[in-house]
Amino acid sequence: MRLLALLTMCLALPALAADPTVEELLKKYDAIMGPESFETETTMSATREDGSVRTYEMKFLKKDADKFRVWFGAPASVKGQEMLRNGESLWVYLPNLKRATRIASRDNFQGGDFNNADVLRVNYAADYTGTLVASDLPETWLLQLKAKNPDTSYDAIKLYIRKSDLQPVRGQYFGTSGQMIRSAEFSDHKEFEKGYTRPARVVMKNELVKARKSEMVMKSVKLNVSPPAQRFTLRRCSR
Amino acid sequence: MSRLPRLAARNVGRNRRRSLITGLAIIVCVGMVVLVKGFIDGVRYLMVADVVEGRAGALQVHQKGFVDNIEAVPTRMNIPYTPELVAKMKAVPGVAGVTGRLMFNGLIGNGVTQTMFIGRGLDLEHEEEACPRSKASVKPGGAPLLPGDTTHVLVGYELGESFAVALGKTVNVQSNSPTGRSNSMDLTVKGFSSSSFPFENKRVITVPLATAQSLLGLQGRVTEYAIRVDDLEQLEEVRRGLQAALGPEYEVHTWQELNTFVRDLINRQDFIMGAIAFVLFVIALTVIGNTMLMSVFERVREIGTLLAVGVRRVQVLQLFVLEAALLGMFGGLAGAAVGQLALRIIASIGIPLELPGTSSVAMLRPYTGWGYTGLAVAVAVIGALIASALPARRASRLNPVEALRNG
Repeated sequence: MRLLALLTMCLALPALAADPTVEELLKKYDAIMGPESFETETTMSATREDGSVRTYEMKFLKKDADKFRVWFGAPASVKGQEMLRNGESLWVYLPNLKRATRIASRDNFQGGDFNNADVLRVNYAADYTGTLVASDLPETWLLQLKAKNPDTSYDAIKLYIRKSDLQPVRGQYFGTSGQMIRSAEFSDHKEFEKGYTRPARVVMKNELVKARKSEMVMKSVKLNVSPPAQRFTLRRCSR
Repeated sequence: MSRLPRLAARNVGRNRRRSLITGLAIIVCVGMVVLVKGFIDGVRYLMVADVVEGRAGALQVHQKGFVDNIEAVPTRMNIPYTPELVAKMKAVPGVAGVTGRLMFNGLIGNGVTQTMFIGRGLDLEHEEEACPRSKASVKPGGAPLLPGDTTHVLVGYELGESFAVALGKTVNVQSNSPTGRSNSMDLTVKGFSSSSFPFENKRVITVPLATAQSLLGLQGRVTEYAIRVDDLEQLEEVRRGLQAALGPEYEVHTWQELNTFVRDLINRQDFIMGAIAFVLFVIALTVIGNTMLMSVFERVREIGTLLAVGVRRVQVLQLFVLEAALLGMFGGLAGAAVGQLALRIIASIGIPLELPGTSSVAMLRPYTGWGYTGLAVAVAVIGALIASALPARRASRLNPVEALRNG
């Protein structure tokens, strides 16, 4: 009898360990997609409904949860442009005007299918509450996220997370009406630094205009760069 | 003294041909001024009616700072839409009707492509109280929105054409809450709206207020109130009354302040009107002045006789001025009558007119009030007096002996 109990415990333990809590999954997601401080070189290819593709090259720098800076290198039309997030404020710096203008987090990121919040605000643990539901994708957890407050860009998110290494593989983003607005595929999971793996490719599809999608590919990611806070001020734009 | 007017009248009657020509000139000038004014007032009425009854309402209430604010998201400055607020506004004397609207923007898509739109969320049960002609005319085949049509939309017809969307098909309407929450809905196209403003045909979609509120997550709120007034002449007083009733959190604007384009257009028309009237009056004055001068030359002997029998110089002056005034008055009155008559005849027929900056045809019915007509007559009389001053002075200065010998 005791043997049986021991056996049951032994069998149950790995099962318990394999069932992460929602909080753990969200924290893990935030740690993967938006580490505390990092620098990355990224390209984004935005496919428009007319079939044209525009490719942007940019460099990201992040510090803390709410300090972001983006430099654009190509195409020529946006070369020299910068984006800045500090706290809840977002700006785009236009080099030919030598002026920064405020933008909204809901605006499209460079006219693509990501919005500014998708790129510059990755903090699901703070913005959403979640429940684990049965997944329709094999070998994944399905996190059903619901917005905590009306300030988030989506009302609900379905996040598919791979069981083996807790990497995200698919996201579906919904408006208040319940209609799917965007969907994302996360792929090419790559170990950029020892112990830090993240999807190098994110394809964001516009579910309202099926021909539109934007693909973001990370060429390099450097963690723990810890830039000084002064770099995230308007005065430093263009410098 | 009392004999002078009679004498003047007799003089005017005696020189029949001369009086006729002068009178005719004044009739034509005054008649033309009344006619032109009638047309311009008619166009102005059409434009004002289009704006006040068809789109903006006579007055609009927004949250304080809304109109001057160009930076923030407009839907962020939303205000509650409650029966209490409506009742408060309706209690202001001069207010005839109140409705709430939610103006927003977003992207409309047909699954293949998306484009920007300006959305109007209308409280369909009350919209006509404030804007009787606001029910955007719907192209044949479609039907106007009804209060229960929460899943339907009216699309500006040019927007619909550019999209190749058919009646009864669905379009996807995407927008954001003021705080940035994305939302989208599939709505059925119930009709294509056509407006006299091309912009509205190309960019505007109309949905029931409830639909707009749920799309934007703004239940029970609007961005503006539109208000109809009993009398447009009392607009400013009603505005002040509303402002006092609502307090400093709100701002009340007149349609002129909100539609500066139309206001400027009207001002420009008034300026052109003024210039035309001025030219016509200058012509009339020249004709009167000329006639009076001619009559002084022709009647030198008569003036000499008058002076010789003891008529005072000042009385001769008065005589000529009186004659001019009589001519001015009769000519002016007849001109006004002719102008008004012509206006009434034209108005009863109506002129189909394409308004500047619009694409639809409206029926122009020229009209002007008696006030301006009276003013035209008065100006004709005063003008005649001024024009006759010099010739009359010349006549009164004649030397009776010379005048009798030369005449």
